[in-house]
Amino acid sequence: MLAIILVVYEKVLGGLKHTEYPLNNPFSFYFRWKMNRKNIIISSFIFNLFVIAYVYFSEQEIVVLESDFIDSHQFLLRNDAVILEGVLYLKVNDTRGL
Amino acid sequence: MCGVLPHGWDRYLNINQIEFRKNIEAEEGFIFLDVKAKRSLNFGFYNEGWINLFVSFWFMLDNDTFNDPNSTQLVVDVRLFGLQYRSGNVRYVIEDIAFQGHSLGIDNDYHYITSDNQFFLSEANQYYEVQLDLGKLFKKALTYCGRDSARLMEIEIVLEANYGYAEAEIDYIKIYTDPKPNSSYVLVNSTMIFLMAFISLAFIAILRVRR
Repeated sequence: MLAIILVVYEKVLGGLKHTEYPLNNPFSFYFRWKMNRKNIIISSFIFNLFVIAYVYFSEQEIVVLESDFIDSHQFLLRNDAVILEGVLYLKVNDTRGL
Repeated sequence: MCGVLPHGWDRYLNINQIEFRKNIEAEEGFIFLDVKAKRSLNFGFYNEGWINLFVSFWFMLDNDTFNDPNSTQLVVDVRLFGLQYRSGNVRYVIEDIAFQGHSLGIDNDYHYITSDNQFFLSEANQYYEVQLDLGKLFKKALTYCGRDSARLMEIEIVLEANYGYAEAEIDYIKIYTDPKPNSSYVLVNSTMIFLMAFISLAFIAILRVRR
């Protein structure tokens, strides 16, 4: 995706514009890039891609109940709930209608 | 149960208390529930009533009154399975049910019971494995109670019967956030970052031009 954007940017929009800076400046490489409107938009967009990637891969578990949770006690069991061999058994019986 | 219940009822450990904003986190493609479960053949009614298996999500609407016994909070019950027995007929319950308060008068909370997969657990004694998108269900609940955001505080798995009996097995439950690239959460956040980066760079550019 980034490669496609850079190719389009170079071929269609004309690529990066450079300003004249003395080459003896050790930081000149970083300052050659011209701050024009096009470059700002493109750099913002590229930065944005990193944010999208970060958010996309930021899976986080809120709570998990599975076979190995017997030891971790992630849930408090109530009433007729029991855990047998990694499976949570729930049972309810409302006998008011009898 | 896991987390903190309102009204000072109970608490057990803590969950990741995410703030759900309507149309951002409470929208499709952000939070999911994976579950594998089955119900036993031992389902039935003694009289007209209902049986529900659901995962409850308690939300805090007001930080200051969360432990107040008379405060109003929000609980969203994501129904995995629902049966109703009325007038001699047993039917699956799939429609959304919303109400405030409780028939026994024990709370004044907003209750929103909803479903995402109506065929889940339709066959007894058979494991079903399904993934539910919770965000859109939370959005419906927030719309019902007229709030723009709520903080998730507690999660519990409930099997309830009213004039009936039931048994169910849960092999696993996993609740997690996994933002999709086309979700509102990603689009809104990335747009905000884009605008911040653009404004910052434009500001630097203006300073450089003036110098």
